Amino acid sequence: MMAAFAAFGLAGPTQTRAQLASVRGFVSDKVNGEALVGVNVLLESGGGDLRGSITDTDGIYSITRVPPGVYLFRVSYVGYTSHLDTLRLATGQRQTINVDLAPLETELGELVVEGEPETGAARVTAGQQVVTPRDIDLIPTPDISGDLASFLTALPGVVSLGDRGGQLFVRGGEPSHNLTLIDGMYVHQPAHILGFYSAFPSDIIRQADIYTAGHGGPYSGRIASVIDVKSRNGNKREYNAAVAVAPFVSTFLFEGPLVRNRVSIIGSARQSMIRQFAQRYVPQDLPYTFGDMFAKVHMIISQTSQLSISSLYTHDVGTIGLPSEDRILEEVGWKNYAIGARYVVLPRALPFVAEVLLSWSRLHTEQGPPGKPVRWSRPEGFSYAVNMTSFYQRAEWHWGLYWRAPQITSELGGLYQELEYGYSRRHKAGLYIEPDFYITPALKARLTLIGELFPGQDQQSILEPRLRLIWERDNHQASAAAGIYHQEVFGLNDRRDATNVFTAWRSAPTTDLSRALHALVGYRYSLSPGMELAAEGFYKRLRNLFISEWTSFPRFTSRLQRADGRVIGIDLRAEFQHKGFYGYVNYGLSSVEYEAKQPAINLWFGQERLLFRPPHDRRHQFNVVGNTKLGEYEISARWNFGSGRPFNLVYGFDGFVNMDGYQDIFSAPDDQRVIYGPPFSGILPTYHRLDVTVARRFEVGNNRLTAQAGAINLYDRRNLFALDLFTTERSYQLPFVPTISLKVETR
Amino acid sequence: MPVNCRIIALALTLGAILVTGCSENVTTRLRLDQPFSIYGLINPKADTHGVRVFEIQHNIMLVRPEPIDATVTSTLVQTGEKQLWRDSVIQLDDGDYRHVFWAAFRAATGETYHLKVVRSDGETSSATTTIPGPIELEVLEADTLKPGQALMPVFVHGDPPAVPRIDVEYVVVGFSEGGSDPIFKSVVFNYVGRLEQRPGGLLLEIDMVDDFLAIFEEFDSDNVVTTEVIDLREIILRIHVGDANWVSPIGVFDEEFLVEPGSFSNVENGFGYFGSAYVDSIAFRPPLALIRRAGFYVVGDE
Repeated sequence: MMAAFAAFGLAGPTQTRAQLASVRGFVSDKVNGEALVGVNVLLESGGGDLRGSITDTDGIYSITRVPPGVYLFRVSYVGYTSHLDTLRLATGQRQTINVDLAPLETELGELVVEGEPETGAARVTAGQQVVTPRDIDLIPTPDISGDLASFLTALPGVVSLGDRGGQLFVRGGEPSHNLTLIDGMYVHQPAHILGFYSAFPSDIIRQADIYTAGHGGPYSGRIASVIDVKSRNGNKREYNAAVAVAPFVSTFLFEGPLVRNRVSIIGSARQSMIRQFAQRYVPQDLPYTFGDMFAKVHMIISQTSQLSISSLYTHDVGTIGLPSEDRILEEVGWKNYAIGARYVVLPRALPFVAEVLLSWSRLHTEQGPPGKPVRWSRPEGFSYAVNMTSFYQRAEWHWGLYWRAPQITSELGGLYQELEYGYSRRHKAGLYIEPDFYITPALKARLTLIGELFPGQDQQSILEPRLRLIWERDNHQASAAAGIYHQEVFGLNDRRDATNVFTAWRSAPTTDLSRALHALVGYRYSLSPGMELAAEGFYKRLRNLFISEWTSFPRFTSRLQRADGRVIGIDLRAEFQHKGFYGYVNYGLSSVEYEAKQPAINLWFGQERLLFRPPHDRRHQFNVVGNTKLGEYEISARWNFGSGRPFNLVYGFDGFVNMDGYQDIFSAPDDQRVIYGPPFSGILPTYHRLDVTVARRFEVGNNRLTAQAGAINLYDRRNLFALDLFTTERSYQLPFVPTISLKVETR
Repeated sequence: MPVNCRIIALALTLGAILVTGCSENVTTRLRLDQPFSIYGLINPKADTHGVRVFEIQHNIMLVRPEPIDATVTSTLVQTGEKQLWRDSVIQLDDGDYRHVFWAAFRAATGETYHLKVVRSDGETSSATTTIPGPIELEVLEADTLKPGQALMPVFVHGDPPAVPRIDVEYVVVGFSEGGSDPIFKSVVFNYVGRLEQRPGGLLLEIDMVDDFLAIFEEFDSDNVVTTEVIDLREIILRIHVGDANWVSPIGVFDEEFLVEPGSFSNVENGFGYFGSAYVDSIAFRPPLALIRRAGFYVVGDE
C-alpha cells in the first residue's frame, strides 16, 4: 500500500515531509471582494523550478511540499494585474497568503476571456462542464440577465418537454434524477414553470458545474446528473443595486458590504410579470405565476476561514393545457425552500481545506382545481456534510462524511380515488474517498469510493466505485468516466399527458433502490486558439426506475410500476471565437429505451417484456448560438432544433364497469376510460425556434442602463407542446413574441 | 468576423430552418373499428335484464340523454327467438347520463343468448352467454371444539360454472366503554377463491377468528371511544354465480388491472362483458360457542 502511495507522490520520508513548507490562501477581486476562480498561483525558485496551483470556486489555492527557500510568488489571471512577491519559506512553514487582484485598467474584449481554460461551450471534460454567468448571458432570453435554465436547454443531451412545465431530462434521466444544489443546499425542483427560468438567475451565480454523467464523491443520491451552483458572495466594498423590467420577469438585485471588506450580502428577487405585460400581447393564454428569492451573507471570519449563510425560496403556479367543457383544468404548483450554512477553513495545524455544510430543504408540490389542491407531496430534510481536500505534490485527496435525513409526506389521489396519505423517513450516513492522481504530467485519474449506511432500516449498505480519467497533451484532451449510482427518492409523473407536470415525490421501496451505471468517453481538440471541437459518447444503464403505472382511467395514479432503462448517445460540439464574434454549435444524438416490468404487461400487451421510448427520447438535438458586437449593439441569437418526441396515441374513449360479480346495471357506478394504443407509439412533429436579442448599454455617471429588444420564436414556428388526449386539442409553445426590457444598475 | 461572413452565417442558418422539420402534421388517433363497449347481464332470477352501452368515441365521453345510434337485440340460440332491447336513460349519482338497454323475459338454465349491438352503418359488437344452473346453500354444523379456530362451514350444492364473487357480511353491534350508544355495522369480506371442491358441490369455510380481528380493527379506527365488545347478530352469505366465461385472467377482479380494454372481455368487435349471473344468499347466526370462540360477545355473557 505504501508503495502505491509512494508511486503517486503521496508519501515520502516522514522527516522530509515535515520539513517541507506550504503556501495557501484565498484570491479575491480587489474591486468587489469576490472570489476569483481559476487563478494561476505559482512559486518559482531561483533555479527556475515551478510549483503551482489553480484557485477553486472559493478562490482557494494551495501549494504544498515546497522545500524551504526563497521563491518568486506570482498570482496571475487574465484581465487582472498580476501580483508578484518574494517569499522566504522556512522549514515546515505553513504560510497563508490572501491576495486581492485588481482588474486591468483597459477593458478586455466584451466576450469570453481568452485563456480562461475551464469554461466554454466545447469545454466538456468527462461529462463535466463549468458554466460562468457570461456563458449563460450569451443565450438570448426575454430578460436582460440570463438564467441557468436557458443555458441548460442549449446543451446537447438535455431535453425539455417544452417551453413550460419546468422539466429537464439529462441524458435519459427523469427530472427527479437530477441533483441540484446551490451552495450545498438541495433544490428539488429548480426549474420554473416557464422554461426560460429557473431558481438560478445568472446575476447570483459565480459558477455552476454541470455533470451530465460520471459525477463524483460529494454527489450522491441521484442517478442522472448534477447541477452544482455556487453563488456569488456579494460586493464587500460598495453597494450595488439593479432593477430590470421585462415582459416575463422583473428582477431586483442588491449587494453590498454589511461590514466593509469582511461581511457582504447579496439578495435577488424575481417575480413573473406575465399577467401584467406579456399576456397583454401574446395571443396565447399564459396562466403562469412564478418567482424566486435568494439571499446570502458571506463573512470573512479570519485570514483562513469564511462562512456563508444562504437561503432560497421559489414559487410556481399555473395551468398547463387547454380548457375544455368536459373537464376542469387542474392547476399545478410547487415551492422550494432552502436554507444553509457553509464554512470553509484552512486549518492552521493541518494540511487540508475543509468545507462544512449544513442545510435544510423542502419542496411542496401540489395539483388540483385552481386554488384547491387535492394532491400534494412534500420532500424535505436536513443534510450535513464535511468535505476535505488534502494537497500533495502529485495528488489531491478529497474525502468527506455526510448525513442526510430526507422525509416525504404526501397525499395523492386520482380524480376518482380516495386520497392516499403517505409518509416515509429515511436517513443515511455516507463516507467517500476520492483521490486525484497525476499519474503522469499528461494523465490524471480520479478514483472514488462511496460507502453509505442506512442505520435501522431494511436497506443494505451501499458501496459505489467511480472513476474519471483525463489525458491532456498539447491541443488534445481525452477523457473517460464510469461509475455506479443509486437513488432513494424519486418523482412520479403521468408522462402520458405532457400538460400534467405534477410531480409526486415518493421514497423508493427499501432494498430496491433505483440504480444506474454510467460510462462515457470524450475527446476534445483545440483546432486554433479560437476554435474547439469536442465529442463525447455516453452509455447509461438504469435499473429499478419507478414510473407511474399505466392505467386506462383518465387520471393520475400513484401506483408504481418498475422499469429499466438504457441510454446511449453522442454529443458533438464546436466552439468558435474570433475578434468580436463568439458562437457554438452542438448536436446531440441519443436513444432512450425503457423496459416496463409491470406484472400485468403480459395480460395487457400479450408479451413478457414491453420496450418503449419514453417521452423524453428526443433522438436529435441541434443548437446554434451566436453573439457579436455591431458598433454599440450586442446581438445574440440561438436556434434550437429537436426531433419529435414520443407520445401516446389513443384509439378512443368509452366507459368501464368493473364486472366483479352480479351488477345492477341500472345503477352500477362506472368510470370513463381511455383506450390507448401501445405506449408512446406516436411521434410529435419536430421542434425548432430562433430567438434573437439586441442590447445596448448606456453609462450615465455611476449608473448603467441596458436596453434590450428581441424576439422569441422569430419566424413564428408553431411548435406543438401537447396534444390533449381527451379532446385532440393542441396546445402550442410560445409563438412569435417581441420583447423589450430595461435594466438599471446603480452603485 | 467580417460583416459579409456574418450575413452568410445567418443565411445558412435560415436556410437550414427552411429545409428541416417544417411539417406540423401529427397523427393523433389510431383507427379503431370497434363501435361499442357493452356491460350487462341476464339474470335468470329476474324478468327484466339490462345492458349498458357506450359508443366508443373520439373524444372523452360526455354521455348525453339523447338517443344513441345503437340497436340492441338478443337471440335465444336454441330457438332463434329474438328480443329487441329498448333504450332507457339513467342518471348516475354524479349527474352523468348512461344508456341502458333493457328487455323483459325469463331466462332458463342452459339457454344461450347472443346479444348484438348494431350501429346504423352496420358495425356490430356482440357477445354470447349461457345461463348458469341453480345452486343451493346449506349451513353445515360447525366444529366448535377445534382449538384456536372458529370455522363456519357452508356447503354449495350444485355445479356453478363460475363464482366471481363471494360476500360474507357480518351484521354486528359494538358496545363502548362508559355505556355510550351501541354502534351498528355491517362489515363485508370478500371470500372469492376460497371455495373447495367436494363431492356434490363446493365447501366454504368462513374464518370467524380472522374476520373478528378485522372487524375489531375497523371499530377501533372508526371510533374515538374504545369498543369493549362486539356482538354478532347475523352472517349473510351472498354467492355470485356467473356463466362459464366469468373468470378473471388474474384470479381477482382488480379494476386497476382489468380496466385495460380487452383484458377481461367476451365482446366481439368491442369491449366490455355481457354475461349471465345471479346471486344466491343465506342468512344465519353461527352457534354461540363458535361466536364466543371467534372473539365476539354474546349478550348475557359476563
